[in-house]
Amino acid sequence: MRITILHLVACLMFMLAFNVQPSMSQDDLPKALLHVNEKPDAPPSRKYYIEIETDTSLQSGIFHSLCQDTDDAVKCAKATRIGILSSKGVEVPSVGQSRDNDLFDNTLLIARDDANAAKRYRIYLSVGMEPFVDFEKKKYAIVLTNYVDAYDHAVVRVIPVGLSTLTRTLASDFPGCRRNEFAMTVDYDSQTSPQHLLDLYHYLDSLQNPDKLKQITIEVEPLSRKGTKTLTVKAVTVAPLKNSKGEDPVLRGFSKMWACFSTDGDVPTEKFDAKLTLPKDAPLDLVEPRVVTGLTALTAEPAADVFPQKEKAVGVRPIDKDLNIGVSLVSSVKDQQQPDKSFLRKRNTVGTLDLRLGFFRNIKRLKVKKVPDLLAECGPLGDYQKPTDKDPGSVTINNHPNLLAPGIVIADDDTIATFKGGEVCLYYRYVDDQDPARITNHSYNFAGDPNIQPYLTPYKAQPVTAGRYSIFTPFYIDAKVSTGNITSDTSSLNRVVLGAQEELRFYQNNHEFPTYYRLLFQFNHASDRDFKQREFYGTFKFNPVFAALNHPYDPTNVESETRHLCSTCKPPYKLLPFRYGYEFVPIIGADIGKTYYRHRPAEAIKPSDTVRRLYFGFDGTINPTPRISLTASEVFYVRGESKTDRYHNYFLGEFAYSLGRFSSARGANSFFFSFERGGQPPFDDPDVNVFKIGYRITATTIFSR
Amino acid sequence: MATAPQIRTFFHSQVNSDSPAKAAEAGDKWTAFPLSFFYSAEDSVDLAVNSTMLFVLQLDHAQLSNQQFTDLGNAINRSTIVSDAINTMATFSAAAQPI
Repeated sequence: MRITILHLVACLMFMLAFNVQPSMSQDDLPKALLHVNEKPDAPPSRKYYIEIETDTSLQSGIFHSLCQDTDDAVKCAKATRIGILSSKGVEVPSVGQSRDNDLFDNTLLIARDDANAAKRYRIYLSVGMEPFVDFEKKKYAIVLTNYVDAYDHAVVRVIPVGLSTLTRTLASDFPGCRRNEFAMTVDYDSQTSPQHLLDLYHYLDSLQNPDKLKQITIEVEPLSRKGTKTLTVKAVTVAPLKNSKGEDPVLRGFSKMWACFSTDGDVPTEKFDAKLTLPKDAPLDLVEPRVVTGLTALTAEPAADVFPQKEKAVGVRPIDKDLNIGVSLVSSVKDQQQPDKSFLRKRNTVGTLDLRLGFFRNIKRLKVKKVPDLLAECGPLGDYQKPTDKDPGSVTINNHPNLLAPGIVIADDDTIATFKGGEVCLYYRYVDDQDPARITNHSYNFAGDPNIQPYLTPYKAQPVTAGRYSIFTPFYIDAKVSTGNITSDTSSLNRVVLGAQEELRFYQNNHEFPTYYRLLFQFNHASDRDFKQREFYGTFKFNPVFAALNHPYDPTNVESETRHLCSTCKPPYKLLPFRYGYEFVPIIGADIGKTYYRHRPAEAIKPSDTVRRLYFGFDGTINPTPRISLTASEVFYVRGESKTDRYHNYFLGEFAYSLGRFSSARGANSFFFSFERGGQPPFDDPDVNVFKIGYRITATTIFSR
Repeated sequence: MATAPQIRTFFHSQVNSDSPAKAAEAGDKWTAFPLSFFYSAEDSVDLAVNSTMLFVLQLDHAQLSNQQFTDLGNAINRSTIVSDAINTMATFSAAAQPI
């Protein structure tokens, strides 16, 4: 049986968490609540309504000049209005005419159950307005603009619209349901009739019937993936639970009932919209809102690296913060072998300072190569509406309408007819000061500037935006120093590097994936902790980044698709990351340096060579899918400092494959192999030839809920 | 000084020139998209914004200081929605020094 102790505990928790709400009293007025129109023959223009109840009666003169609620969906013909419906502070405009399906008359009608109390009013909403979709974001409010009460007090009031006393919603992270289940919750207050609650509860309970179960579907649309997916419900559990005798729970003791749906697929692991479809006999209270937007994704285990990256050596670590300082003191005991082969246990205490400091780090300067005299709109020519001397016109180019000021002639009619459907460019310099701005032939605020007539030509490549980016760090320190003697174990801990770096990027164009040339100049001064061995070295690197070879895999590089389940939502589109990427960057570089001072450093510090080397190669990465990463790096060195070992090369190839998630996205596993061959500067160690293969599983919450 | 509607027209020409396929895909809703839809690198966004701003300043016979250009670059990045970027540029245009 699926209803377990866990569900009973959840039930008890909810009894504590959701106390019975107090009854509505007169003090709660005025109020405005959104309802679904439960009348089966309600026209589409009256699918929903907002019921307004005020605390004081309306003055009888105004009351009798208002329209009454009627069976027919007709537009109120009377001029008197007491208020309006607004959304986000703006009046919702009236739409359509009497009996139109899309009629929306922003008028408060006297509710039928007012019984001349002059306190209850109603405003209808059409099916197309979908008021339950993104209800919180729409911020509906009733603004009483002409409400004079029976005592002649003018009342101006803004009444936020709330949801009716009974609301249904869909959630993916409801704590009363298990992980990977959808929850349909029904919230109610003490005004709801006990019988109605019981009817709803019985209906939810009846969904466990296999015939009905088959009819429930949940269509999900992840907001960063194409298309939608329909999930079929496999099991339903309902809460609160019946008692041990099988009797219905006392629903008035709760403020919420819910059903948990297990489906044949997982809850999406990215934010999503969902549409719940219940069997046709579902009570209206449970039908709306059909579409629920922006639901929480299932928390998923990220794919882990099989081999964690090691920290880089001092001098090549990134200076990515102005200040990054760490101090540690490690005290440990260790067996040390004595000259007589015996072991002596000794305590060793080492203090370490780890410092990375960037002064005026990354000073950026951008220089645009040439500011254009004329701007251009280029692309296929679409609709053209010729401006007259009085009225503006427009020309659509590349799916974008460009407005033209009155009297502007961009080409004669015959020319435009010839260009129609072809590729064109509209060149212009000025726009006027209207909103939206229209292309014109003169400066909007400097009469002395020369007039330049906009003109349309067959497509010709326009000047591209080019520029130079400079990123300069005038001085940085990268150091790791420790106390105690410098030994072979701690020599890497006792290095101080001071340096400066300038990076220039020359942008040949500014396309979505630009072509640019990257030059890096670096000057470093390195020494041991005691400055007894000092060396300098300079580095120059050149990377041409060609657009055709560089479309890196990056989830922020996106394309768009219309939202299927909620096309009226804002934004109406979803952004889908590109699911592939590739990079191929050649490298050309040179290193030059030497030790210029050496005076009795610690024995463990090896004398460094004079360095003169040239290298070239490439770095490449291919991501055919988000799960697969293939990288290769090949560098060929010409060593000027060594006549006996002049040429060297180094290759590193890696393949990583994320095998995906398992156990409802609680776990992830990945596979990796790499091949490394050759040597790298400073060529102190013999060349390597290493093949690595690995597999890693990670699951943060597989044994815990 | 240039207003947001004027800058919108100029900036569309910039985006359409830099990323014509994406500009066509966005159509007349282009201002609702983030700049990452049109540009794959932060540098490209800076270059596009600066280029348009320099054109606007040229028409306005005005200039921005280096610091203002740096602030403009910091205020707009790939996650900025185009309409917000245009409003930011209009703000900086209003603060430009006439020459």
